[in-house]
Amino acid sequence: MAIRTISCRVNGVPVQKEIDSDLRLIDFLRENLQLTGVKEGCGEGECGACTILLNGEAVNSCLMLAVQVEGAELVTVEGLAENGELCRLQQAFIDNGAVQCGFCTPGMILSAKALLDKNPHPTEEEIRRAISGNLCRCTGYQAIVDAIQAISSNTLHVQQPPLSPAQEKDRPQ
Amino acid sequence: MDVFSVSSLEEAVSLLNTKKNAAIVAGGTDLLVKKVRNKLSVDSLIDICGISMLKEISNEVDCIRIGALTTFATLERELDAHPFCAALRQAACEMGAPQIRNRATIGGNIVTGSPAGDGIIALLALDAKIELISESEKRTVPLYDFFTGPGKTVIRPDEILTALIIPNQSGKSCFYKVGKRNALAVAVLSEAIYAEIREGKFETIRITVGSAAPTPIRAFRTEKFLLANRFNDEAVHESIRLIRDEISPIDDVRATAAYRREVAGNILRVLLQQLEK
Repeated sequence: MAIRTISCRVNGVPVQKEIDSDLRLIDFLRENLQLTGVKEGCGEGECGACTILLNGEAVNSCLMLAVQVEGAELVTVEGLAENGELCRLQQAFIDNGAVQCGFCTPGMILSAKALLDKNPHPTEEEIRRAISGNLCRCTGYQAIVDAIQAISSNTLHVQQPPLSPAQEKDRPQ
Repeated sequence: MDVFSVSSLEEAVSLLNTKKNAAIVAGGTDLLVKKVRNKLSVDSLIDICGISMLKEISNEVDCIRIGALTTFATLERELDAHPFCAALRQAACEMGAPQIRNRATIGGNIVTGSPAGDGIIALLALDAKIELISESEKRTVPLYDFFTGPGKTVIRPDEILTALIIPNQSGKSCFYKVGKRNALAVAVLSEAIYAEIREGKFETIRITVGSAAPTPIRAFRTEKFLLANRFNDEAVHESIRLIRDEISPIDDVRATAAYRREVAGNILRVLLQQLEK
């Protein structure tokens, strides 16, 4: 098996590793860098659980080779919180009940971040299109769309939909 | 498996010539799926993403030249400048999902050779040609002659697809795809049309259909009929009947052949209406 050296920046930190040349990017992130917020759902680009930002663009890390990110800037969900504080988008997911089992959440948040970084005031349609490559099998999509809308200042005053009894019980006081 | 990353076309074709049993990888959105399913039987991969000259869309005197490494996201952003390419822009918007469009390249879509390839159907309607380069030769092939079966093309093992060439044209084009959902759906049936209409008659028309035969196809009989008749309700009605009869779809996991025939006519109606606008 051929070994290659790869250098890139992951969550702002320079990384250099020797890896098998045909290692997938998702395996590099999870196994070599222990960034297990990158989830593997389908492994075929259908579910978006492995979404990361590559130079600011959302991509499926299961469909790339690690050697293809030489010199690139990567962001995983681990790179969003600063000084132990969740970023606004992460907090909005919690506040809007947009997380249930949590498996889709890292990818969902990164797809949303890719959108908001380019377009801070998206329409609902633009939000739905931006997360169309991410599957969620628990909450449904409305709470997720609400979370993303909540931090785009266009729609700051959107009325929150009523919570289900289960969500009400879990809501942070 | 060895992976070689190259930054020039010369390097790529030379490696392809010396490494027997190698495959090209670009965006990887099809190839990596094959790899995890153990359906990729090569000894090495040549990553051509570093060849920046293959990522450009350029306007030449009589054509638009689209580098093979142009992503679907770039096509979606940049084809607004070329209104007659609306079919390709629409196909680019509908292909895959944002994550796929950010990586998948139009060249990859073509060499994958799926009868359902969204980009292919649009490019066929636009009468595109493709440029293939090996260490010893450069040739240009009409896209229509490129496909020989599902996933099979005339590309040789030592060749790289470098660009697509779309002749500048004065007419309009449009694309419509029916899938199980909006994102990440393989087309149940797709169609694209390019047409030039003058005084109620078609001067030029190309109708292409995806997921309707072993390769992407042109609906020549339907085209011929529309060329010979005035563009009115009766002609539209008859062309719908003709295209349902002309295609040869199959039953598969996505739809039945009968459903595809029905949909082929319905899509044709929608696209012909769009042309009138």
